[in-house]
Amino acid sequence: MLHAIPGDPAQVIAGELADEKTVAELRVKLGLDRPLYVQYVDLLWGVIRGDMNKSFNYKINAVDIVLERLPSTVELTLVAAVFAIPLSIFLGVISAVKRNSFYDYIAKALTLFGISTPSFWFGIMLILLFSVQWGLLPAMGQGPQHLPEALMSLVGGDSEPMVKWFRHIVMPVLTLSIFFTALIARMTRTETLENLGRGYVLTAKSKGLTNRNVIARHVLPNSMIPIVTIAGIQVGDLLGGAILTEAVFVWPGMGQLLIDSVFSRDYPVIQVCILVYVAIWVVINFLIDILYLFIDPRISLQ
Amino acid sequence: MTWWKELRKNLMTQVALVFIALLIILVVFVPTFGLLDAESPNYIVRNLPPVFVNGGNWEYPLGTDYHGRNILARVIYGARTSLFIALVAVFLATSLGVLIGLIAGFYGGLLDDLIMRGVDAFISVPAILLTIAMMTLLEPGTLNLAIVIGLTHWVWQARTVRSKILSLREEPYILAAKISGAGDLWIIWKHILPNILATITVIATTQIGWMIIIESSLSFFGMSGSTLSWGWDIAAGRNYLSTGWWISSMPGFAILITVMSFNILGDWMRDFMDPFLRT
Repeated sequence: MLHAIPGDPAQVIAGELADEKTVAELRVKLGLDRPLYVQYVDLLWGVIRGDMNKSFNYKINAVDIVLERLPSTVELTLVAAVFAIPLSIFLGVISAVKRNSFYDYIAKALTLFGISTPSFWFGIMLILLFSVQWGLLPAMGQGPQHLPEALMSLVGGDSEPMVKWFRHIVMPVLTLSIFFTALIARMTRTETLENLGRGYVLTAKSKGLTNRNVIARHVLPNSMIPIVTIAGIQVGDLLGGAILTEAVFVWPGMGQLLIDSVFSRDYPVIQVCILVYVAIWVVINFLIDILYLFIDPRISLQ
Repeated sequence: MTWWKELRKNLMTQVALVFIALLIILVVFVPTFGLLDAESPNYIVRNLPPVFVNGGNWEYPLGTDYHGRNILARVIYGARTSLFIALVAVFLATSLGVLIGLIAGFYGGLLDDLIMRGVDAFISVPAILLTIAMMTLLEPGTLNLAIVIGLTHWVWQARTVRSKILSLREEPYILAAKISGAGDLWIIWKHILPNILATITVIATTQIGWMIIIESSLSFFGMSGSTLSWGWDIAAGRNYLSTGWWISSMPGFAILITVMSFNILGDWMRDFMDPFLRT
């Protein structure tokens, strides 16, 4: 599948280039007049060898550029996922258990807001409030700190890098995860409600299990199965949403790179970027499949 | 009309419906009769705040932007762009999705397998990436954007229609129809479609909101063909956050309220018509 998917945009992009370029010699020089499948094999070979895809704009290897930007994107997406997943499930379960209460009402309103708001606008509003108006948080950029170093400093007793890291990442993470959190919270609520109404809940309670126990041991695992499916797809959308978030906060990740390359028609970089995104996506999917093993005892390794 | 009675019980949905109706009226009438001007610059009045802030006036209820253009007008014209793209895209996505789901579900077997593989491959790439990739190939244009968005979002409909058909297929009346010699198309038309119509409508309505967000996201980057778009205005207003916060905020509020309305409507429709969908 990894080969099939980027084949589509990558090949067609390369093909379109052959139509658009006006300078014929450049075409020949870049090898663009060769048949498409040759170009594509070349692309993959270049990625594997690591030295062949020269970016049009930067005059260095496209792969190097993309890989340089990769950690920032991964950091942002990872932190957002780690933040959003537990939060959304928690919110959803509480909402279901305390159905129609004041809390539930607020939660429903907030999640409606969350799935209806454009994330980039939300980010800009956050900047407006916290940076422009109140001057509390930096408006742009990742700042000097990356998570690994900040964590290590924290262990060593120095909390300042951690604070700096947090101040730079908090708004981007909120922006990126708002849709995800709202959606998953809603789903969790619905699923949990479904399960709460099932017969086995009554049985468990009459056995003498406390509410909390029932929820943790029976309802939650059952609810998780469809949720993990949707969450998996949504994590992929987190990657896509990171492109927007990076643009709003000038976060030095692959998303910014992709957008810039699209506008400057820097085809090698676009191709490699998409390739990397899809690779990440495949890894995530794989991890989710493994997760299924733990959640659903009916599934076993084959 | 039971839906009318149901609707009257739910205040939020009524409000949402009223808003959507209002929006459609504005979008149809204001541009047609040129009641407001969204394009001509007027540098004397640039960066005026909205009417509820000091310095605003009723001539420009939502303020002006850095070119002196009426933001209220731009919001309404932007609505036209977004709604147009969203509706075309949803129409395309729904048609494509239903068609594919129908074929996969009804005929089953090898065709079904092939189609489902295609579906899996399609959702492998995050939709935004695919949309961006496809937009790089085509010239920026409103219709192009609508088509691209439509082409990348058919999966939901396809999967839902397919599973509904898979369960309908075994119903006695379908088998009876087949035995009495009814043709496939006739069965689809008379029995299957009426059953899935409600589900399709719910999905389509909810997707309108999502399409609007996607369109504005791409306009934010400048990838849509039109500079008269909510996303674009939000992007352009970023330079003026400290001096003219309304330039970026107003289009965003418009998006928020519009999408919320469609979501509320979609939710209500789902609760009322079809408990099959639970998301």
